[in-house]
Order: sequence, then C-alpha cells, then structure tokens
Amino acid sequence: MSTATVKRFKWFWPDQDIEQEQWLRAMALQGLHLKSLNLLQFWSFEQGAPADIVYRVDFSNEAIKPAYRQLLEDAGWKEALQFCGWQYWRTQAVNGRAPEIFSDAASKGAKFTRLLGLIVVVSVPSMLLIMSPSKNAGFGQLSWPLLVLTGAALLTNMVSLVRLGARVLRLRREQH
Amino acid sequence: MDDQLARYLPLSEATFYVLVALDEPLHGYAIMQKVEAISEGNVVIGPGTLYGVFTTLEKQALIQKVREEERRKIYALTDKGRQVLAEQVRRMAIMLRNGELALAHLRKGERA
Repeated sequence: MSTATVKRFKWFWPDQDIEQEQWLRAMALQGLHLKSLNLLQFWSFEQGAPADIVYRVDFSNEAIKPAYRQLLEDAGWKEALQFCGWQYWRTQAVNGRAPEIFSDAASKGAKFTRLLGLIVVVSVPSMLLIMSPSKNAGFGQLSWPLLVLTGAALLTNMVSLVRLGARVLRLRREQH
Repeated sequence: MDDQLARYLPLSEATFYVLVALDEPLHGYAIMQKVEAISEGNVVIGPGTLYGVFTTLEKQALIQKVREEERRKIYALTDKGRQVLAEQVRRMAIMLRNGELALAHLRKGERA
C-alpha cells in the first residue's frame, strides 16, 4: 500500500502560530502528517498512523545554522518543512505534554519582529509606487486582473502588519 | 567594578540558570537537561530560547565557546561571567534574607 497524500486548504494569518500548531497536532492525531505547504496555503499531509505530534512554527530570514539544528535535534525536534523562511518543527508529545522551542515571551516574540521587518521592507516600495502621482506609475498602469491581484496582496500585507503588530505588543506586555 | 557588572543585572531566570549550569563546560542540550534537573523542574528552557541566550551571552563575553564536537558547541563561563554570576548571587542572598524577615514578621502579626 502506498502512502496517500491528502491536501487541505486552510488560511492562517502570520500571527496565528498557536492556531496552526493546534491544527497540525489535531491532524496528526487523525494520522495526517504535514508534508508540504504552498503560497496559497494548501497544506499537504501524508497519511499514516495517528500519533500525538506537537508542532512548532518559527520564522527566520536566515538559514538554519548547523549548531542550532543540532541543538533542536538533540532536544528531540525534527524539521517537518521549511517554506519561505517559515520553519515547522515537530516532536512526539510525552504523556500529553507539549514541549516548547521558545520558553519565554521575549524569544517567542522575536520571530514576529523579524517577520514584521521583512513585510515592511517588501511592502513599502510597492506602496510608494502605487501611490505615486506620476502617470507612468501607480494603479492606472495596471490591467484589471493585475490590479485585483496587487490590491489583494497589498491588503493581505497590511492586515498581516496590523495583526503582527498587535501580537508583538501583547507578547511584550506578557514580559512585564 | 560593581557598576560595570551591574549593567548585566538582574539576570533573567533562564540566563541565571545557564550561567549556573556552566560551572563546567557543557553543550546546549546538556545545559537544558541540567537546568531542568537542578531547578527541580521549575525552569525548562526551550532550544530556541537557549540558542538566543547563547548569542547574547557570547556577545557580552560572559561565556565563550571552548570547542566544538560534531556540530555541538561547548561553552564555558568567562572570568567576567563568573563575576556577574557572583554579583547576582550576592544580591539574591540579600533578597532572600529580606523576604524571610518579612514573612517571619507577618507570621508574628498573625499570632498577635
């Protein structure tokens, strides 16, 4: 019997790490183990034996350093997948206990600060271009489908920015 | 001298326990296990948090990498790290004494 792949669409905002982790754990309990992910948030799962697998999501602009990977592996974590800077790690739950990769609010918030910085860097030039008064730039130059696509992407980035900002502030309050 | 050490204080619970665990050179996972054991399960440091602590402490020159064994970095306390830890412990001893005095005082009040 070959292993079957199951695809699911589920949208998460980038601040929803806890929601993603809970969903992935629930999927694993049904025997669906994360395999891959694409930009439109179609998630692929490999069908296997149901298991209590805990997932943790991280985000980094940098490649995983060998010493860091070693530390995670020593602590029982395996890489489930990497996608556009997102890192999904998983480990077996022990007696229902869910281990953490980040154990305090400061280090938990660091990935969101990194992501926030990246979105700002990516969105600001396109925002400036679109709002430019010049006739050779801006919305007027775009065909309808492209306009819709660009608009949707920008709107998604804006909502993500606001949500990430709120999440970072909440985590910062938890620290004090 | 104390003023220079003071800017590293107070240490967070995780950072404090990393320095304490490094009374002998150790690698990351060994530190995680040791901290959980000696803190009687009160402090569990995740690998991501620990890696961040290493980066900060190395930058502050409170710890240093002494060698590497199969991609595992082995860290040891520096002289400065030992001094910071000593200063933290000195302050904590005062805190503990004051806390115990206050609690004893409160208990006396209850009996009266």
